[in-house]
Amino acid sequence: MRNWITGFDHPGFFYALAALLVLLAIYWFHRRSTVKRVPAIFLWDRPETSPESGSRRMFRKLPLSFYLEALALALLALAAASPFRMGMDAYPALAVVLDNSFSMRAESPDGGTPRSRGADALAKLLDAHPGRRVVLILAGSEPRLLSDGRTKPTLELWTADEASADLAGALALARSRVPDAEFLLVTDRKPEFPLADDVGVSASGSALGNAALVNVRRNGGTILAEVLNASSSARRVTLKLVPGGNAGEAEIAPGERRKFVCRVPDTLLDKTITVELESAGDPLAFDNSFPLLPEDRVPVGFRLVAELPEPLAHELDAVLDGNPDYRKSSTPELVCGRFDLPPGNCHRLLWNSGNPERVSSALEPLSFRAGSPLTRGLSGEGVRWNADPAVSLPGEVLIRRGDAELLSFRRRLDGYCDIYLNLAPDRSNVSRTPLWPALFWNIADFLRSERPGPGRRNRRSGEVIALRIPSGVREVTLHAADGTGRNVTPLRGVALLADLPPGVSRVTAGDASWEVAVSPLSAAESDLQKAGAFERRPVRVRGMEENPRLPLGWIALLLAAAVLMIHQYKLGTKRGGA
Amino acid sequence: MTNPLHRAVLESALARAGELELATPRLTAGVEGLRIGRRTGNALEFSEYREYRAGDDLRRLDWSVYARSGQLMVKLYSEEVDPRCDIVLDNSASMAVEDAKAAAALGLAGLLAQAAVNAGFSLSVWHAGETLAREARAGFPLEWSNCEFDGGASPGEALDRFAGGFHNRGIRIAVSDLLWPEEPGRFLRRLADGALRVVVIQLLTRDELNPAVSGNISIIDAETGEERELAADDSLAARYRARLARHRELWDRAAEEYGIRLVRLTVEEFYPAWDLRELFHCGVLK
Repeated sequence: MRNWITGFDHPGFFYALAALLVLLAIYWFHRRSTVKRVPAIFLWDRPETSPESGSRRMFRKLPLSFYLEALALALLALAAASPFRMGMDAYPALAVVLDNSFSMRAESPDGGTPRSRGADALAKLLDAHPGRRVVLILAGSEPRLLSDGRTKPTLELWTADEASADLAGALALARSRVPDAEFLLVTDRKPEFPLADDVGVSASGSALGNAALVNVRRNGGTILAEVLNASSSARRVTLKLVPGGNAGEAEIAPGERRKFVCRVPDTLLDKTITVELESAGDPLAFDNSFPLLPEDRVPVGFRLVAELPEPLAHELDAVLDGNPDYRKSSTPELVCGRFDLPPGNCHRLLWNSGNPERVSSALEPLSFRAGSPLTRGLSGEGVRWNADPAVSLPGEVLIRRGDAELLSFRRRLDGYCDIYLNLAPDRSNVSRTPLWPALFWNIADFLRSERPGPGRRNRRSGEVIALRIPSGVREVTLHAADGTGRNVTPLRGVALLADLPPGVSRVTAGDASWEVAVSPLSAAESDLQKAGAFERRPVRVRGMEENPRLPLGWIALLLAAAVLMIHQYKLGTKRGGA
Repeated sequence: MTNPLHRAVLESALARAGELELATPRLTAGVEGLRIGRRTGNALEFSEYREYRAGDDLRRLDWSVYARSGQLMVKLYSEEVDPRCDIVLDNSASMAVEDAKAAAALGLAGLLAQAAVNAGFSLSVWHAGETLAREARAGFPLEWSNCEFDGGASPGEALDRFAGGFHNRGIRIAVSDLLWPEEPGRFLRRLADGALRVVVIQLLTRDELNPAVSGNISIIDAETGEERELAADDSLAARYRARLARHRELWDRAAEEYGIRLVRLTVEEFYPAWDLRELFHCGVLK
């Protein structure tokens, strides 16, 4: 960030200039002229005009002392500014990649953390080269540029609270920003990927045993917590719910991951509960406590139209009736019917039976379109999905078998979704395979995500939250858990929220408001056994060898002193003796 | 005269003048510096005898001497010298860069005027401002009307504009600092034209002779107001002294060329004690 106060890249230039102005003011007041009336000016100086010469520009003749003193002032100003200037010129930029994962918070027995040690080492490096351009890249789940090196870098935003650190991506970002720079990786362990010669590493971690929560989930009245003992000896851990009290206690073997299922008391169902892990001598407290918001899977209201033929109605009944994710409703979110069902203020599941005579029994395997939330986790193993291959489904086809289009998805102009199904139920076994309930799980999940709000309220660090907002809202305000806030403009009814800090953040969109809890959970980062100290100096880049640092500031200072001495000798010895 | 300071100076100078007289020029300097004061002619005052030479006016033969001694002697009478004096006082502003310099110049002019009156001279006093202005009551210095040193032109320029009016074959005395850049010959030639004797008295202060300056100075010409920013150091003072020496040398040469007596007085030595030794020494006063 540019220093807007001084207007200079480095405040030193401003101070040097200000000092120069002060010196000039002192000089002016000290050396201002005294008036002397004389009878004959021609004895003092040659006449500069003659009656015949006409007008010409006259320059004030300045004495030698003025030039000497001005030279001394300029040299002094140069001496004040040159350490920065020379530093900028003599060295290539330094691009520092900071590991922002929470493992950088692990406390060694001496009380230090890799982050604090890295910050100290970095501060020493910067002090040794004042004015050098330093680009800071934060390596979290996504690499981010912290400082472009135009101003003095600040480490306040190095929070070390993310669940992963994309060091390689951060290095790539640094190399794209400052290709000729020297690179330095500040982390807590030796990187596992190959490093180029110009990349130095300052790893200052310690191999420590650690017990940590590596997974926590809340669903209705149940909390699932998974604890990892990342140490070489067994550990006794205690799991607590706050509020709620002890939820479990166990002795966990080295390397073991133990799951705890905790019941949330009915009185706390609508409360935020913090899951806490206690383990004696734990070096990293950060991964032992995570808040969980109430996570309700509100069922999707659905309705089956009366004209639905019996075989399909039966299949749908089988999967929807008694499914906690669905409930019948007179104001449904999802209406199941035939292809010709008119649209309304709801999503539609539309069935096309096709021509029964053309339904064929094909042997080709099912293919699922990857990346769609509706096909997530679906498997075609053992599934016999027969349908009319001549039917063409509108929208994006998600499941097909050979040329036959079996399931497609289309978003209507009014924002609602249509899911098209091409199925001959009496000649298929879909409803008797795991694919059928999994498909409707996905549909329920997807339709819930279409509701205004963030969908799931408990998220992992690094997730991008697609917040659906009510129509008419132009701006979303985020009050993050770390006290910061920002406004996000939604696009097509969705506001994307990324880089949320750990903790509970609040999102406001118009009159509606939601809380989102972000938990940095990572078994890899909680495992500190691979952490350790590692130092590697980069092979010096060519610029550093070609531009050795010269003490030009000192040279300027000495020159200024010499000029002042000459000035005093030349002008001071006989002053007043004229 | 309204300025009490000037009145005090003149009173002091006149008191010093007392019975002093301006010396009568017996040996006058003509154009070529020849002795022309003694010659036969229409003189009324007997001077001496001389042996007769061919061509002498026979009417001047002293027959009684011839009767007594048998020698033809011619009676010589001194040329009639009308004792006339013109005093030119430089009233330019450069004479007032220091109060002492102005006082010394004014007092010297008054003293010379009184001495001329004491010696019976027919006196004219001229104030050199833009041109030469005659003082109406020249013999009464305390009643001089123009004693201010505020002229913007040098006496050289003033004399150029002067239509004439000096006494013929009289003594002319100029009191000035002679500090103007034009060459001095023109001024001295006009001053000496038709005069029996010319005395130029240069008044300079010690600071003008050897200025003590240091640091940055803003030099302002007293007459033209021209300003120059200078840094005073040893070299500047040395250059000033060298230029002043050259300037004085020019005046010396010109004065010698025109048979003019150039007298130099230092203000601080002359005033306020009115030290007249130099004027006695050079025969201006007696």
